[in-house]
Amino acid sequence: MPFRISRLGYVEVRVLDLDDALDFYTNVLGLQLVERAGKKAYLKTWDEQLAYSVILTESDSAGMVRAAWRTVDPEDVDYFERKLRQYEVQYQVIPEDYKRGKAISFKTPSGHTFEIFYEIEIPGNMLPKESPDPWPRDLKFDAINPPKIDHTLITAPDPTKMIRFCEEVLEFRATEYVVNSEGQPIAAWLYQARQQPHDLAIVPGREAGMHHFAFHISSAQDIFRAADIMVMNDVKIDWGPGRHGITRGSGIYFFDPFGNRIETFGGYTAYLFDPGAKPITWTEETMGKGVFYYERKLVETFLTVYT
Amino acid sequence: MQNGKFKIHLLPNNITFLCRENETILDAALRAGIELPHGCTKGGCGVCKIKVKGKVEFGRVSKVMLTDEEKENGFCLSCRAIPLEDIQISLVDGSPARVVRYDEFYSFLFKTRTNL
Repeated sequence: MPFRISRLGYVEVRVLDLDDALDFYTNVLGLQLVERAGKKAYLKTWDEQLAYSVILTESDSAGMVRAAWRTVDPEDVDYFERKLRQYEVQYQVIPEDYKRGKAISFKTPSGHTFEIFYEIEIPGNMLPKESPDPWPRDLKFDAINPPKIDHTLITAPDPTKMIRFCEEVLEFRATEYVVNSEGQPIAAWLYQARQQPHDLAIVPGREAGMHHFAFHISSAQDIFRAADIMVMNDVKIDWGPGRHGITRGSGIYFFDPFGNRIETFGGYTAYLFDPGAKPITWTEETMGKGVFYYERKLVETFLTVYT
Repeated sequence: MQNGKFKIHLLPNNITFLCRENETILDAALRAGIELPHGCTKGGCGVCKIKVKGKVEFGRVSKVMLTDEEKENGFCLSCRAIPLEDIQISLVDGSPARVVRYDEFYSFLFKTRTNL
């Protein structure tokens, strides 16, 4: 079966104040502001090709508005439209949005709004197309500056049902599961064409909850640099720098000024996944080590704190 | 009020600690060695919701995690709420808060300090 989704295209996240949000997301995290339009701002990382990867929307609560998945080919959008019809999932066709063409929008069993799209403006990254240097010189020197958006972890009241939906309807493949005593997956790390440990992960929790969204950081050394910058700016760190057993990635969980959890995640070069290879499983007993490898138990905030 | 600081009385632990000017209830509690439950500390996740008697400035919080109705009915998010007078607080379920170091010695120091 071919891959029909390339990656997490963008997430839209609610913030309580757009001015404060932009200060944090551009000056501390180091995202590039694409455009501010009314109550929304569109941002991207320096190494992303597409028009944007993060939308911040001023609101009276925190959390996720939507997550959008970009397909590999234009026809894949129609493919998923047919598939949603086949599974009797209600959906809407959104003809266009900011710098983006058609998308189909639907609610998942976990209560999240997902979109599937292909057409979007592709202005390129901050490097020239001809003979580029490896990184741009004009990044803010004391910002984290992650190169790309990585994944999102969301919560589901019935995670087993949500995992099945993502696998059957959206054709995500699993790299790792946490299974309960009956062998049912209660948490999953799912990937698409951009072979990496995960594009989407699901854990048990409230309807439509956002546990975090993540940016890639290439090396463990850069993760420590990110931690330095967080402390310099008095950013609340939730966990880390540390290591996940699941995905073998290293990361830091931290909060934006409104309580949305973000992760800088990477350093998982040891992780190689071959399509067709069996997913890794963790049990409820070993889940603590799976999530927080060095601590070997769940940090108290992991299953209770999210927006 | 004591020396420009408000007193926060924690029930059912029945202990009192001081809050500095413009300090949140959570910061004051943690400084005093009282582990009030908390999460994001930015008003977004709602984990630090407590009951409060007395006037507080609620701060910038998620309306989903602390509704207007809850504000009127004596709830606040401790990570954002700043006392405007001496207040009384308790956890939402009425259980005692975990105290890390508010021992007799600390209480003695506290009494000494507040009696100055």
